Amino acid sequence: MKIKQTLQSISVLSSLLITAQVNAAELDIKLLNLTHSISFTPVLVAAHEQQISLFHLGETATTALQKMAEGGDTSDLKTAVSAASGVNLELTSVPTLAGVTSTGMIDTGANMYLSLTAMLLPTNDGFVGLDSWKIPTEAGTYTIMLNAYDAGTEVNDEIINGGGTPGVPGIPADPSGNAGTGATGASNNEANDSVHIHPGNVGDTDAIGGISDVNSTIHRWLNPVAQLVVTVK
Amino acid sequence: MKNINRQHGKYLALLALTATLAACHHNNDNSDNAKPFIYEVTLLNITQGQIFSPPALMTHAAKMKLWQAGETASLALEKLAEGGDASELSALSGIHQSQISGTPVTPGDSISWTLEIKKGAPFSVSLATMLINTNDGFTGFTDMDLSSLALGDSYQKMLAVYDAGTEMNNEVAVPGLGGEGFNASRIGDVNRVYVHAGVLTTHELSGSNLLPEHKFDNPAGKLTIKRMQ
Repeated sequence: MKIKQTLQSISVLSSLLITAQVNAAELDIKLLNLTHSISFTPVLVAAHEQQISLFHLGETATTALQKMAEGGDTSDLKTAVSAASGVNLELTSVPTLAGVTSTGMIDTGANMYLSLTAMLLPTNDGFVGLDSWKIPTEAGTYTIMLNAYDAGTEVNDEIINGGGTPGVPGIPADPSGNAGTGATGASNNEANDSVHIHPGNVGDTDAIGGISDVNSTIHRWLNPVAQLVVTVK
Repeated sequence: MKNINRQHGKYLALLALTATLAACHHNNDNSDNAKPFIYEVTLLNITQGQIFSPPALMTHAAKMKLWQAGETASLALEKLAEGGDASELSALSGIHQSQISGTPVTPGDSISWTLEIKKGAPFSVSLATMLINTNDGFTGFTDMDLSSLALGDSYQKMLAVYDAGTEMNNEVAVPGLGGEGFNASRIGDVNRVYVHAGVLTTHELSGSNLLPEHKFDNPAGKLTIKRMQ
């Protein structure tokens, strides 16, 4: 009798555990852009295993990362995640402005890690990122502050000229509508060609010339640039 | 070979159990008590263009802080923060052991040390390095207790930049560009350690010798400590 009861409780317990594990793979994602006037290109969230990630701090950017960081193109990153049995969530499909909160849901499957990227506009190759955050198994709400990274693939000349593909200098656009023109270039050197913390925009206050098409009173930031809230159900 | 050693260590620990109980309060893993603790300490420079002066890794008495935000910098810290010279800092009374790198750490590069802490020696660790294209900016950590790090585990910490508060940030007396290093005067600064406000560069500060690539935001360094033994 006693044995039977124990067996029953074990089976109840194990079914509870299984339920908990399945539920734990479903995440609510909420991303808040904390900056003054820096826009995010379409935000990619990926669940993946330990050996892959969207980026690694201190390592040379992949071409897939470079395409995202210089032009907001996440297609190669998504392909790489899928090929490694990861799961993608396109949290947003168009650029979003500062102050905007974006929400979504992702079923991570068996994947244990979470990463996120979105290009920062207007920058040359800046992006907001989360690198391989280990998804907690315990249900709850977790808040992570995200930094701005520099892919290290392009000189931060701060010239807004529509250039947004690898090998083409310049910044694609400023969705906030504060782009200057006619800049001569804020920098001519990329001093670190691996992924690093973004040094920030220089900018100037000359809308039709000067060194930068970025406005120093509008387009600056300090870390963190985004708040990510993950709810493990 | 590694397994055999570990097994051997277990028997030793069993034999010496009563003798080691008193000494193992530093650590809950006492199976290898006869061996020193070995850590791999790695510092990665994640700035765009700030070279780190040869960093110093030190162990010292518990609760000893090499700096404290809001407090006045020691002369030894000032020498590190203004001139990149860690020799006095690593020779302070209370420092148990120190290793100063032979070379600076350039952006994107890292440096690794093997840190061996013998039984009974202090487990408090500090690391300090100057951002050499600043007046008196430095990064690192101080008084971290490693005793609770389990075998095989690693610990990561992102490092912020401090200002020693000992030299005005004119962006001229920066040793990385051939400017002046240490100067004993503290006139023109607040004479307390605070979180660095960043640099302006030649675009925004008349007379500055710094370029946009020398700008930085926190964090500036990534620290990884892994316990190997």
